[in-house]
Amino acid sequence: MNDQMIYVSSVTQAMRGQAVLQKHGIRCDVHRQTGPAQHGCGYYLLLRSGGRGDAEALLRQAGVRVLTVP
Amino acid sequence: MIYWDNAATTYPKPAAVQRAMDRALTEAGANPGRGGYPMSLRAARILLDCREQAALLCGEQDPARVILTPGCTASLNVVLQGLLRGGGRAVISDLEHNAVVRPLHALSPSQPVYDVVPVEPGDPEETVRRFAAAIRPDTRVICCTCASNVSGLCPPVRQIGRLAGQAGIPFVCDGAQAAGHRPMTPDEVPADYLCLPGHKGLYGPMGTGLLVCRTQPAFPPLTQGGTGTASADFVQPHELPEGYESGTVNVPGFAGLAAGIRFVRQQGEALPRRQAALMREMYRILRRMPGVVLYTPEPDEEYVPVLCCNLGAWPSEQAARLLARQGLAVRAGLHCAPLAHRKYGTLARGMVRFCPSAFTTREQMYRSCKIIEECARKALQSEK
Repeated sequence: MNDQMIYVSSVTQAMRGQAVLQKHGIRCDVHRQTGPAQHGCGYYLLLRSGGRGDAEALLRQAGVRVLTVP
Repeated sequence: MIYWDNAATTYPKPAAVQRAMDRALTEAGANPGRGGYPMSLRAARILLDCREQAALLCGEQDPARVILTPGCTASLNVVLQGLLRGGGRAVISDLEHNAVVRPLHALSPSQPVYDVVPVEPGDPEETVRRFAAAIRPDTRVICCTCASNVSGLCPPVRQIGRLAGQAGIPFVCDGAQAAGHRPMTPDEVPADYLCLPGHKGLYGPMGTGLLVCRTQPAFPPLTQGGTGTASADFVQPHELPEGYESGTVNVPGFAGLAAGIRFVRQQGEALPRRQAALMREMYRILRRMPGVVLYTPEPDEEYVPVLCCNLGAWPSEQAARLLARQGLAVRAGLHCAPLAHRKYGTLARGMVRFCPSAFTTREQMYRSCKIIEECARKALQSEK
């Protein structure tokens, strides 16, 4: 499942990211970070369709701050 | 009651604002940006919606650059205290509200760190020349209101912003009185930091404000605390917007503000045009009334719909008291803007301020003028 998770810096970035991906036909959900986190609390996008590479590129292009992918 | 105190807070609010706040309280009453369960995410979505509405209003592409604050005063404090944290001076206009003057004054009460530039009505070039002349080597910020909350006069912020940009000095705009009446896009208000209240011309509730950062802030937030992000780190994150929003954000309030901004955007240019026409007509009626003292020329495009006057030689508070007895809710005194009152020569007695909203009718305006006429007559009689 990890390869379908994209970590972002905040809930605002997560929701912006979700909107960006949905606009491009990539379905995803916003989730609270669950495992031991590098920096503490945060959010991630769980992709339900599409590849992570494409999704990350779209997010970065839209100015959504993507964090280091575990 | 006929409510004319809309320059302070608009009343009533559109029904959609009340509905949005009610819905937020009942359906999204959890902390935003902290939990992962549906209600917390709903609350966060409400905040994002408000940021998106504000971004659309201000011509900003990235809603994450919209910081939600408890009010325009809070927004101004964050920016002014932040920019002058390491020293330096500010250049401000002589129309500024105490929300600008007091934070600056507090930085160095014995030796003010701000230079005040007189705005010249009807001569934007002269005003800009004065701003340019006031810039010193240690000027760190230029701050100007988009419209006076006393007279409605609008300084040429477009040109002042251009000047600030050329000089490489951050430009801060106080849009308290102009938002909802004037475009807030970068073309019209080229501010690095645009500070707006939610509860005036944007028809949101009290306790809401916006700070639109067109430039990434290089200063730390005024308030440190929980952001729901990077919690293992004791150092406050500076990332927009959460880094500048420590603590639980007012979700019902910003639900209301989002609805308020939608209302303003849906009305488009018709709303400010209607209010400007109403105040022009009121001005023409008052101008002919014995005992009514006006302080500005007939308002044109250089003004937002704020009209100030006095009755005879009465102190403004005395006039406001009599008007209130007749059912008019007006604001008298200095309107927290002593610089502006000094400019108009009314520091001693203040002025009586009238400001319409989207819900003020012509019939209410005519009725109000009759009441003002009667009160002005009494003011004149009391002088004999």
